[in-house]
Amino acid sequence: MKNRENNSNFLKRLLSFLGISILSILIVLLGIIWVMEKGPSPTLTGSFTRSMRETSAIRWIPSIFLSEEELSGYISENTEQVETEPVNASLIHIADAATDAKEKQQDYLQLIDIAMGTCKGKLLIVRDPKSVILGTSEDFGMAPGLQLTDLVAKYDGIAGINAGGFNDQSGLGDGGRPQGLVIADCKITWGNPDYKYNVVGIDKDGVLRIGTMTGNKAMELGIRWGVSFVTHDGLASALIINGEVQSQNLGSGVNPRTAIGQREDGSLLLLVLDGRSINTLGATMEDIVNVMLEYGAVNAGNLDGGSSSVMVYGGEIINNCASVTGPRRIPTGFIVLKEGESNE
Amino acid sequence: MNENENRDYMTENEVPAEPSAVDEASGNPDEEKKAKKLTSHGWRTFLIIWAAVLLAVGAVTCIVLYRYAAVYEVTRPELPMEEMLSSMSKDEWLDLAAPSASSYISEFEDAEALFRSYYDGTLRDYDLSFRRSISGSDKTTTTFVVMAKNTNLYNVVFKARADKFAGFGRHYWKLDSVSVCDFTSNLEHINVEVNAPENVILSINSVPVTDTYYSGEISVPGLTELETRFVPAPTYKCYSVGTMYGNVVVTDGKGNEIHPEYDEITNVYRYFYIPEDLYSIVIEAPEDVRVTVCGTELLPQDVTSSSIGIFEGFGGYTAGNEWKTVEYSHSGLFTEPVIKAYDRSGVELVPVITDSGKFIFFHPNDEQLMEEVHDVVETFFNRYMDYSSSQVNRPKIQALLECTLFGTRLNRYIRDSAEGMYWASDTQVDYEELSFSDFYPVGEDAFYCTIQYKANFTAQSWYEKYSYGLKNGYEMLFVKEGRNWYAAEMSAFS
Repeated sequence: MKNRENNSNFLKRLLSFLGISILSILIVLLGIIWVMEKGPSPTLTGSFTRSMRETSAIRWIPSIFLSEEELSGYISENTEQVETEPVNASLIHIADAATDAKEKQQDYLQLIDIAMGTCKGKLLIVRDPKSVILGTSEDFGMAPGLQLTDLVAKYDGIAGINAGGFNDQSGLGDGGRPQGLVIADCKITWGNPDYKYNVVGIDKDGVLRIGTMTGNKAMELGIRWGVSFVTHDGLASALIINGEVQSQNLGSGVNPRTAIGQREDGSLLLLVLDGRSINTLGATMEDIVNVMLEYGAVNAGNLDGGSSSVMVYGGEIINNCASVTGPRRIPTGFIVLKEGESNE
Repeated sequence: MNENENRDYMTENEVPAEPSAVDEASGNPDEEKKAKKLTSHGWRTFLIIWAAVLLAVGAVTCIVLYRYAAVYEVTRPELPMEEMLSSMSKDEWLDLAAPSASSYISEFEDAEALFRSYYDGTLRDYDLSFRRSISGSDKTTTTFVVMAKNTNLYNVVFKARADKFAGFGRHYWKLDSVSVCDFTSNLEHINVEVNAPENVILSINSVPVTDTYYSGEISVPGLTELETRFVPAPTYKCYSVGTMYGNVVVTDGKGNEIHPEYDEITNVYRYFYIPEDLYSIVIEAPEDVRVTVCGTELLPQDVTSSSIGIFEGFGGYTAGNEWKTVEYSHSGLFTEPVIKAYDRSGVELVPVITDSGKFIFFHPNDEQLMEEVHDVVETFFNRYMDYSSSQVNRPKIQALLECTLFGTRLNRYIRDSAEGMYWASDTQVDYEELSFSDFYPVGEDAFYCTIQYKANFTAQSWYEKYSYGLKNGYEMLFVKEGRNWYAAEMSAFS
């Protein structure tokens, strides 16, 4: 009897301790959120607000202290259905990779560490755009996706990045159900040919194609490998088209990012910027554009970011994946084939 | 841990006696209740303190974060950049940065003018924006790229202020430099190479091309086939100036403009110095004489004309021993020609150089022949000059005609010209030079020689008197008729 009473007391004390602690922490967190949302730095407020809104599980946080009106000041207009100028393929002059690389003494692949303020990541320059394909997991909608390491291994690739978005309600998706459109080897394997999507793809000639288009239009353009992605706030994936920065799509917070770009000489730029860690908070869309412009991109598109952002090279993940549960399962990834194994 | 803390708390504040006073074994319910009450009260106190500590830590965190946010906002390097962009006009940006354009353009062009022209022509109508440069930024340096129409225009560098820290390891920023970005890839351009002889300095847009650009030797283009055989072939110094973007005017030392040749293969505009006066040669020599120019022997293919000359019609005397006189006439030579000639035995011949620069070579003088026939030639010449410088005089004409072979063109010429010589009466001749040379046998019955003189003439006709000088030379052919030598043909060569 006494023991039961003692146990009951202990439980009460534990619960009260935890309750008080959690309550205090919540109050502190609210204080921090207040500072971020109502503090003296509009820059931090904007960045914090947009970052929270881009993460499906916590996108309600900015609404705690900010009114709808204040919030709207930080949210970009939805550009999901905005028509963009089509990619001008004549601006891309793809030389024979083998010859060109030899002449310019360029490597088939160049891996570059990116450090820009608090933003860090990896950039992979792929000299031959035709050596990049879209890797897909099996049975979309039926089976879970694959981790990128497995996806790269499946295609016997040497490197890869995550590609299109996927159904990830409350962050619990299994990566098996792509968001929007998937084109693999000139076939629409997911999505409706008549719907408009924010497509990022590579055509038969190795030209990176980006823009808002239907699946049928993508087929008409000869897109061989393609995915689509749009942020939670409806920002389209086009970041740079024909050398023009698509500023309407840049209003984002800091988060891990994945993007793909193409230089005038046809080289593809595969970029992953880390985030959500003490080491690096993340990158904005502007950061992606800055990196892409710095490395000569004339076209660039945003891909799925956040905890999906991952780059594999040589069989290993080489960036700091933001997912606390380890690399996520994903439905699609751009895979770099080994040298000499063009997709033709 | 918590229990220990509670126990300590009770010991200090509530229970002066030993902890055993609340020992359950005592069996006293009041004591037990009291002890429970005391324990419960202590726990609540602990929780309050614990919550207070957490909230205090949280409050400090929020305050620090608040202060950090304030510092962050004012130490963003974007802040001064934004201020610059909003406060400076496009022309102010241009004035600030344009002078630095020279770092991308050679000394031969006005870099600032080129940049201004480029900006005005293509980008002025577009708003300026900026982005942070990755490669140009680090902890103490932030570089922004100012753009117009998504084209990089200016690099703006901010340096962290070492004298004023904002706290939290963050800096205030001060402007360090503004310069133009490399704009040359957006300009029409050509590759330029100038070529000139060692001692000639060419200028591009009035700026002399110095040895800084020297890249090697290059063969002079447009050489005649003859000159290409010279050893060594002439070369120019090649100056690779590189890429140029504006107007290119190449001039020589006298200001003469040189026009380029475009090489499609290398995509280079080549400017070659062309001397105002290219060299030319006119050489006349017996065909068996070996003639060299700059050490290179002239070949039969270099002969531009040939003739049998004064031997024409005298085959009966020369009996096949006559020779052709060949002429080498070539122009457009870049190299100053050094002309030499050698006879069959390798003896170098001395040329006669005419006033027009023609080189005339003869066979080497046959001393023995000269000794034998010198008087014959001298007699003819004296009579010829006597005839040509005196009033028409039948005996003098007759004396001269006696020296010539009857029926020849020379004989007829002298005979026919007698009527025209009236004006040459009483001409006084004073020789400065007179020579009979180049005696050369042409078989048994003919010989060749030359007569050269330089003399001052003073003519006296019935209506005037005047003086003049003459330098003249004649090729002569003498033939033997019977035992006597007669002048058969005469041809002036200067």
